[in-house]
Order: sequence, then C-alpha cells, then structure tokens
Amino acid sequence: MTLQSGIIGVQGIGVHIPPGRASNSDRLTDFGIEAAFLDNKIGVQKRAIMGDEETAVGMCLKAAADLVERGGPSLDSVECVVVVTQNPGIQIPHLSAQLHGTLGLRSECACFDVSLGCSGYVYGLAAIQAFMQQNGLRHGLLFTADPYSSIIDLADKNTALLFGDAATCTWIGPDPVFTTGKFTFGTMGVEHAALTCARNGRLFMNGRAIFNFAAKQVPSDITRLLSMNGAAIGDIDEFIFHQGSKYIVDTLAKLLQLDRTRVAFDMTDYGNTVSSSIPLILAKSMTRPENRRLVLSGFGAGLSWASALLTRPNVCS
Amino acid sequence: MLVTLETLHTILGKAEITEKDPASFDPDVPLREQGLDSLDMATLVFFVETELDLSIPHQQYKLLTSLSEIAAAINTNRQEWSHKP
Repeated sequence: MTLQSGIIGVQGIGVHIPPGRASNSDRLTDFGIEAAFLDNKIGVQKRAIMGDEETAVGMCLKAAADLVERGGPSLDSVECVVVVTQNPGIQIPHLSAQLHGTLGLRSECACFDVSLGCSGYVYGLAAIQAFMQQNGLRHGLLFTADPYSSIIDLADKNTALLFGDAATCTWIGPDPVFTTGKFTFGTMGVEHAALTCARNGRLFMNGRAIFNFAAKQVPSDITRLLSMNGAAIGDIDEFIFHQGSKYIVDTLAKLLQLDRTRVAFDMTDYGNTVSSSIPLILAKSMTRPENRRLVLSGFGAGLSWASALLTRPNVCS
Repeated sequence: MLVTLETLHTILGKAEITEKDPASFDPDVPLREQGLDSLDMATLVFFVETELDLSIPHQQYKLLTSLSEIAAAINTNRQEWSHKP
C-alpha cells in the first residue's frame, strides 16, 4: 500500500445560518429573567431556527453551496465526507451518505458520521485528517449540523434561550490556510447524564454540572495543548471556544487570564449552534491574515472535550 | 480546619462575580437576594471547590443559598467531600 503523507489542512469553510429567528427578549417575562442577564450572561438575543421544511441535510447542502461559492473544491475531487451530528433527521442511512447522493459525488468516496455534540468539530477535524492522510486522500468535506430546535423543550429555562440551528462545511485540502498540530481529547462519562435526551426525547441540561465541567476541564486542557505543541498563551492570536453561552466564554477567558480581545465571541444573533459554533467563527477568522495561530476548544455532551492548535503553514514554530 | 465566613469572603473576592465588598454580604441572607444570579452562584461554588479542594454534590448544591449555609455544609461534610485522602 502506498501512503501519501502530503500536508493537508483547513482550506476553506462554507456556512449556513437559517434566516428564521426567535427572539429571546420576548421570553424574559416567561422565565423571570432581566434584560441584563440576557445581555451579559446568556449573550443570545436571537436564536436561528430552521424552517418547517428545512432539515439537517438541507442545511448541509446550503453550507456546501456556500463553500463552492467561496472558491471551494470541485465536487468531482471529493474523496471523503464526514458529518458531525446527533440530530441527523433520520437515523438510517447516515447523513453523509445522503449528502453524497444529493451532491452527486464520485463513488470512490468514504462517508461516515460522527456522533458528538459541542466537541464534535475538533474531534471531526482530527478524524477526517487522520483518515485522509492514512489513505492518501487529498480533498475532503467535514460537515457540522445539529439542529437542536427539534429537541428543545421551549418551557425549559435552562435550554430554551440558548440553542440555534446552523450548518458548516469545512474543506480539508492540500493547499491549506491552517494546518493542525497535536490535538487533545477528553471524556468524563461519569457525568454523561448532565446533558442528555434520555428522558423524553427533549434536551435536559444540568447547568451547574456543565459549567463546573467546562470551568475545570477546558483551562487545564488548553494548558496541556499548548505544552504538547511547544506554544505559549502569548503565541496565540485568537482563542475560539465553543460558544456555550457568553458567561462560559467569559469565564474561560478569566480563568486562563486571556486578553479578552483575543477571545472570540459570536453568538448574539443566532445562539449556541453546537458543533457549528467553532467553524462559524473560524470561517471569519481565517480571512484575517493577522490570525496566524489559533486555539480551538470544544466541550459538551458526553461529557467530552477536545482542543486543537491551528497554524498558518508559513508561520515558524 | 473549619471554614469560616472570612474564608468565604476571600473566595468570593477571587471569583470576581460582584463589585460589592465581599465582607458586606450578610451571611444569613440568601445570596440571590443580595444581587447574585444563578450563574454567579455556580461560579462561587466552583471557586469554593477549587480553593478548598473538594466536590459538593449536585443535590447538596441546590440547598446552599447563603454564606452561612455554605460554611456549615462544608464543615459538616468536608471529609466526605474532600479530594484529599
């Protein structure tokens, strides 16, 4: 077997945020919440909601179309499709196969789904790149789409104001804007019931448990990631944390003593989009040349977390 | 060593969740009635756990509303909640 060890990495990202919005300010009275709490702690004014006719696969197709519009790969060249989702719409077949068929991709194309939530994009990056490198593949697509609007209990104060729908499509290719270093991963399965749909098909979240988990695990994971990659906090131009809420992003910045201007925050107009939250920001961040080294960190259901260091290929370590 | 209100005031300051003087909080009045919200409470207890190297169970956490209750609960259960052998 001949292995191809050429460099691959993140070459482009397409996104789709449905135009439909649900206002959180309309629900303050329902939950006895003050506007200041919504602004300063939750950080979500509107939640993106896919339309009645929209689906996870439909959102992915729009994200792929956006990638093509931004100069993405020829679809004829795609040899691998990975989808990160826990809400694919239908369980069988896997969403990546549905996309493969609708996009008309070549038959010599590997397709599989990854069942992860908010840590899923970072896991997905590691999985698709390792898979592609091991098998000498040059062009792949990593999708994220987890429309939580289909599983939210709108009467649940802990979740009703947080989540929004979106999809992204990341092109993994041989002329990357960013390459990845060593990844870090972790799981705290003993706390898996803190974020689950096990009870009635609707999302349940133990807010305190999730907060504790993120505040304890993520800062130490970032420290470990930087150490493994021979980098320091001062080397990083932007930290892109999963956008769980404004409060958790602020708390992670505080615990890591980060310059707040180097910590991305972007969820006010669409909400916590689960595995799409990081690539939605990365799509904007990668267009700024001054962003040479980035840290990504996703954390959520499982409870699970993963972090990655991204570097522009021309930046010396 | 017993956890005192002074200890909790110090931790309250480290948590940076209030602009008030930590010592000005009435230990017997629920913190939620003194300006802290649910996320502030989660942060305070996170800092208490970190500083004192212990884990407060979720069921017990729900019962802790004031500084006096937090101190009393820790002093009663510290051995069970402590991470130290």
